Order: sequence, then structure tokens, then C-alpha cells
Amino acid sequence: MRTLRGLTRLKPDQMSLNGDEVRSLKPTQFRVPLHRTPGGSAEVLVSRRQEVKRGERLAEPGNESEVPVFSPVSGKVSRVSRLPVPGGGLVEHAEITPEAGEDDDAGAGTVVAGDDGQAISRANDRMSGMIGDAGKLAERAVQAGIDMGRLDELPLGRRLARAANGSVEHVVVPAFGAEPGEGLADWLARNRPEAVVAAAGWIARALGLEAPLFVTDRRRRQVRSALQSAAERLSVAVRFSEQTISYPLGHPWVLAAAVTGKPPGAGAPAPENPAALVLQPAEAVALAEAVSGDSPVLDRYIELRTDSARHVVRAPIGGALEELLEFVGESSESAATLVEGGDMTGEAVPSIHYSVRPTTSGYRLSAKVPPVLGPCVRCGRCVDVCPVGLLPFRFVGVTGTEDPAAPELRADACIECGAWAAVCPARIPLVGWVRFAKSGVPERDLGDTAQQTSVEKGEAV
Amino acid sequence: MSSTVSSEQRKPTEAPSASAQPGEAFYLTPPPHVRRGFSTTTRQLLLCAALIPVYAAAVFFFGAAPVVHAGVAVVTALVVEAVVRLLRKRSLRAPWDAGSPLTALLLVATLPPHAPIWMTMIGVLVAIGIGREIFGGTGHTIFHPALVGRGFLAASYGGVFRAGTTPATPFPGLGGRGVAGVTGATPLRAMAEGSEVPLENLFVGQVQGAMGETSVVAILIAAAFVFALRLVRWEAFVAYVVGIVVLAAATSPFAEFAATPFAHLFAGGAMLAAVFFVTDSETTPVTRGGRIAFGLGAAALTLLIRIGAGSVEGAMYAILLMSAIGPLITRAARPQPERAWARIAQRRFES
Repeated sequence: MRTLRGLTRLKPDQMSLNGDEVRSLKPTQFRVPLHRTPGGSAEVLVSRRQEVKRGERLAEPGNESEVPVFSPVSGKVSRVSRLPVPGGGLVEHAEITPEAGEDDDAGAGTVVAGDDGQAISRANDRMSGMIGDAGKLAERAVQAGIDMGRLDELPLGRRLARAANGSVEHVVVPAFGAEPGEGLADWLARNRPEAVVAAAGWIARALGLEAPLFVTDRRRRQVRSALQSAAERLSVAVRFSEQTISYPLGHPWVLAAAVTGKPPGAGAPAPENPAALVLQPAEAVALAEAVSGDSPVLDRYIELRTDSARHVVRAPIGGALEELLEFVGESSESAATLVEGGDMTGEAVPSIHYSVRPTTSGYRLSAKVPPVLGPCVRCGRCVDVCPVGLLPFRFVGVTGTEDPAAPELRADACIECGAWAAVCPARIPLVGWVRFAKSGVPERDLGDTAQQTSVEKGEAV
Repeated sequence: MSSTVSSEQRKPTEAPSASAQPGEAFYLTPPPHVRRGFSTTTRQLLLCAALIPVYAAAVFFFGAAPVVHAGVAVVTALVVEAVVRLLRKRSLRAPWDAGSPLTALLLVATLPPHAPIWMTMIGVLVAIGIGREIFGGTGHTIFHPALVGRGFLAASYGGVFRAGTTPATPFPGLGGRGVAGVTGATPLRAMAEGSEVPLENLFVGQVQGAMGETSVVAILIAAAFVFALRLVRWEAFVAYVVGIVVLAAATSPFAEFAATPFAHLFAGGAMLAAVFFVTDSETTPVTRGGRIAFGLGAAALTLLIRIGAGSVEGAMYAILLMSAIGPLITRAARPQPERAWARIAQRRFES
């Protein structure tokens, strides 16, 4: 398989982040997204001027790919409105003004780092009724509102429910940063190993498997030893696979194929691999905390990176981004770009007035001005690095599935890892073109843009 | 997080809203947000730098002529590019990718040292104006613009290319030293007429010929530079070199050509073409298999023209001909996700 080496890698000293010391952000404004994507839907349970309690349900899932949403704070709903999200589109949000004197530490369910052992053994006791019953565990994950994975996947509970009806052979935990420069998965595996191991163990046992498989980076032995000693403390059976990780091995489909020896199957909404369940460390921690504290997911770990520093913060879902930056002492004054998610697949955040989503793994603030685009010089580097054997350069100018070239180019097989765009000397945003080719937007709806492209391609309009 | 981003710098993509306070709005850029490798401009400039050993050898053998030609060619190229931009009503400040000076330098490398300066200027005018800009500039050319320029000159002023007996330099007092004792025909013509040319002379460059083509050792230094920095890909280069050697060996019993396979490779423009023209990304196929096919095809045509058609140098026309079918070779490539997934599945991570 072709992988992309030599991208920005974490240096060992950067990996420590700020150690065990995680600070919790206590924002004064909340904008809580009520469904996961612009295409999703939710049954909104609150209205303007309504008082809500911390942990109270704000929305019920509108369809099978959603989970319930809970209020991260006690306060008053000031507005329910559609707000833009990174990547484009509008999502229903509940804007909440916290009550004066709200004591953030009062909330149950937050496991303080360092106290994992006791909390997890309490959780293990609670789990005894559910072990062996994947359906119950899936329901528990859905009811806790766990939605920490990638946006193109279903939330954990929904995936688990599907796995319970299928024939899963492996529960795989990628204990490494899936994207270059990203360190949250690595950090969680080292600093919350009990939570990660316990949750992975529950899922493996519920699915009738002996042990979860942890994939670690050969160059980061400390991750493996942290997980191994946690497994010994909790007496959970685990397996390890040490690999030299390069991008995009952390992609769930790639990882699942490499572990099971089977290519992804055709499943809705994405061709996931029915033979493996990939559990992100953030999802594992959320599940362990939800069970041990018997509360829904109200916050998550966020990794905030700038060109020179990184911070890990526990931020409530819906917390305002501007307050998050202020909290860690970073200014956006000289920043040119703000990205939500990893370097390769993350989405640009156009404005500071956005908020933390359940799927937000982190933000990156950079002073570097984005590169100038040039024409394709047909150098073929994109073909070299595409892990799924496509001809990415040919997607430029393909407009929608109605374009005769679209089926021939197999846009459907693209996993949008971004590897080709990263090596493109002309800096062409190929991910955008592939999404276009997948989107089914016919050329006539694109107006001038499509016409311009056809002219540039030298074709008759 | 040191320097402030001024509004002037915020040009390339959709600029943050003008009404926003500093630090409130950011560029709306598509993923990915990290980049690896050289940009197109850097790559073209490094390719220009790769020609330094070639030009150094040219100065050594032919005196100041190559430098004078190169200087005139680059200035002409920039002027032609600017004029074409104005004619097309494009801003002179629009991003520039160093393609035209590279074309000019490559064109000069294929011209004989005794070529008059006006010929270089006409060649550049054709190369940049017709070969490059009429097609739409970088990214849109079908034939290598430098070869278009050289093809035009060879067709129009063939005598200059054939003349091997003129003095090595038209600039008295600035003459080089190397080929002073070597008069007469270019190696390919000599070989076509049945006389042998020592291989070591070809390797060092102690022969008549175009300014950048004679010294194989200088071209190999340039090749080491471009392949070490991965400025161009190696497949077509290897295919072309292997193709010439193998096909020359296979045809030598039948051809009235006093050349060993390596003499074929080292004589004329074959080595310069192998490093700088056969590997050009725009005018050759995109896929690995396509590039190999391109290199082999160009090698076969080079020999066919040299031996069969009685033309002095076949490399240039061979590449121009192959470029015409290059897009067809690219089109033959098919995406193969199933095979790629099967390869991923073979990794067997489970320990």
C-alpha cells in the first residue's frame, strides 16, 4: 500500500503536551449543536427563554444516525437557531446563557485524570449486567450521546448496534494520531489508559471476542506500555499490533482492512468494514466516563495547536471557540487560518464565532497564509500517493455525478484522506473536486464556475 | 504567531470579511492544511539551477557564447511572456512560475554555439509565444515549448545546425579551449558517414555539437541533482536510456551506422533529452506505466530517425511525436481501487 511519509511529525518533546494536567474550560456562552451534520435532523425539545438543567435533554435523535443531545450547563436558552458549521452548511443550535453562580465542578460523570483506577472499577461493577449483551451496550452508548468519531461515520452506539447484528472479528483501537501533527489519540492512550482499555474490553466482550486489538506506533513505545500496564491493573485481556505508522493508516477503513485482511464492504452510509469495529480512544474514554459517572457526554478533550504550542483542554460541547482560545492564552490576532480537526482532513473555520462540537478533536491556529493555486502540471505525484489507486488529477473539472467522466474515475472509492492534495505542487484542492464529483451537482447548476473550468480545460462550452 | 498578516498578503483565496476585526475571521481553505514538497515555481527554478553544470561545461568548451545566448534568451523569454500577458489582458503581477526562463535555458542548450544571437531570439519567440503561451502557459502545453522552438529553428535554418566546421565561438577573444582541436562534423554525422568517434570524447564533451548536449558528464551531474531532489520522475528517463542502448545494440548489425550502443546514447541530444525533455511532466503521460511506454517509444523513434530517416538528430522529433500521443497513453490508465484495497488487506496487522 502507498502511504505518505515525511509529513509534519510530532517531535518527542511535543508529545508530552501538558502532561497529566488537564484544565477544564468554563465558558460563559454555549452554542450546542443539536444534530451532527447539516444533512441530519433532530427533534428539538427546548425553546427560547426555557430554563434547562445540566444534563437535560435538548434534542432527540431525528434519525438513525443521530444521538440525543444534552445541555452541558444549567441556564436559560437564549435562542434556537441555525448556525453555520465548519465544512459548510447549517445546523440547528441551542444558545444557552449559564445561570449565575453555576458550579461547574458539581456535575457528575467527570473522571479526574489520575483517579481512573477507582472510577473504572466502579464502572466495571456497573457494567456487569451489560457484559455479553452488545445490544444493551449499544443502547447505553446511544443514550449517553457518544458522538466522538469522524463525521463520515455513525456514532459509536449506532456502529455497535450494527456490529451486534453482524459478524465482527476485531475491535481495533488506533492508539496513535491518525493524522500528521495530531496527538490527541496518543495523549489519551497514555494519560487515560484505564478508561481506554476498560471500554475497549467491554465492547470486545459484548461482541463475543477475546480481546481488543490495540494498534500502536512502533516509534512510541510509551503508549504501548501505558496501555499494557492499565490492562494488567484491570485484568483485561488485550492484544497489540506494533506498526510503523504513516498516513493514512489511521483512517478507519484502511485500518480495518489491514487488520481483517478484507477490503471494506458496501454498507450505508459509508462502506465500512463489517469485519472490524474501529474504536477511537476519544470514544472509549467517553464510554468509560458515561458508564462510571452514570451521566451523558457533556464535554470532551480538545487538542489546541498553534504554530509553536499545543494544549489539551477539557471543553464542554457547545463551548464558544473564542473563550477556548482565551482560556489557553492564545490569541487569534495574527492567525491566517483556523482548522477544526486534523491537518489532512480537518475543515477550515472561517470565523472565531463557532463552537465546540461533539466530533471536534481539536483546533489548529496558524499564521501561515494559504498557498497560491496554480494549474495542474500533470506531474503525477497524486497518482503516486493515492492509497486507493485512483487518478486524482483527472478529477479537476469533473462536475457532479452527471459528468460522464465521474463513474469512470471511481469517485465513490475515494476515502478523502487528502494525501494527494498534500503533495500537489500546484496546490490544487483535490478533495474539493472529488467531493464535487461525488456530489451529483449537475454542471448546469454551477453556472459560471463550470463554464470557466471547461474553458480552462480547452473544451467547447 | 509572530508577524501580523496584512490585507495585502491575504490575496490568494477568499479573503476574510472586510468588516471583521483582526483575529475574528480566517481563510476558508479546503483540506488538507499541510503541504509537502516543492511548489511548481520552486520546482522550475530548481530545474533552472540543475542546468548550471551543463552550462559550466558549455562555457568550458565553447567560451562565453553559451552565457551570452542564455542571457539574451532569458530576457527575451520574459519580455515575450509579459507581452503575451498584456495581450491576453492578464495582470503582470499574477503568480509567475518560472516556466519561461526554464524553457529559454533548455532551448539554448540545444543550439550550436556558433548560432547567431538573432536566431536564439527567434527561437525563444517561437518557443514561448507559440509553444507555451498560445496553448495557455504552464499546465496547458502539449509539446515541450523548447523543442517547438528548436524544431522551428532546425526546419528554418538547418544549415546552422549542420555546419560543424565553423569556429567554435562567434566571439573572438572569449573562446573556450576544449574543442579547439576538434573540427569537422558533429559526432552523429561522423558516425552516419561511417567514422568512429571515441567514447571518452563523447563522455567528456570533446566534440562538436549543441551547447548543452555535448558533455555527458555534466548532464549526469545535472541528472543526479534533479533525481535526488525528485524534481522529475525517473521512469521515463530510465526507459529512454535503456531503450536507446538495447535498441541500438539490436539494430547495429543491420544499420550502416558506426556507433556502439553507448555512442548512440552519448552522441547528439539523447542524454540532454533523457534528463530534461523525456521527463517533462506536462508533455508526457502521468502514470508510471505511461511514462515507461513514453520513454521506450521515444527511444525507438530516436533511433528510427537517426538510422532510417538520415536526419542528424532524432531525439527532438521523437519526443515531439511521442508528446502528440502522450494524452492517449494517459487516458489508457484506469483507476484500480479494488487492487489497492487488496494490497492494503495484505498488510495483516493482527499480531
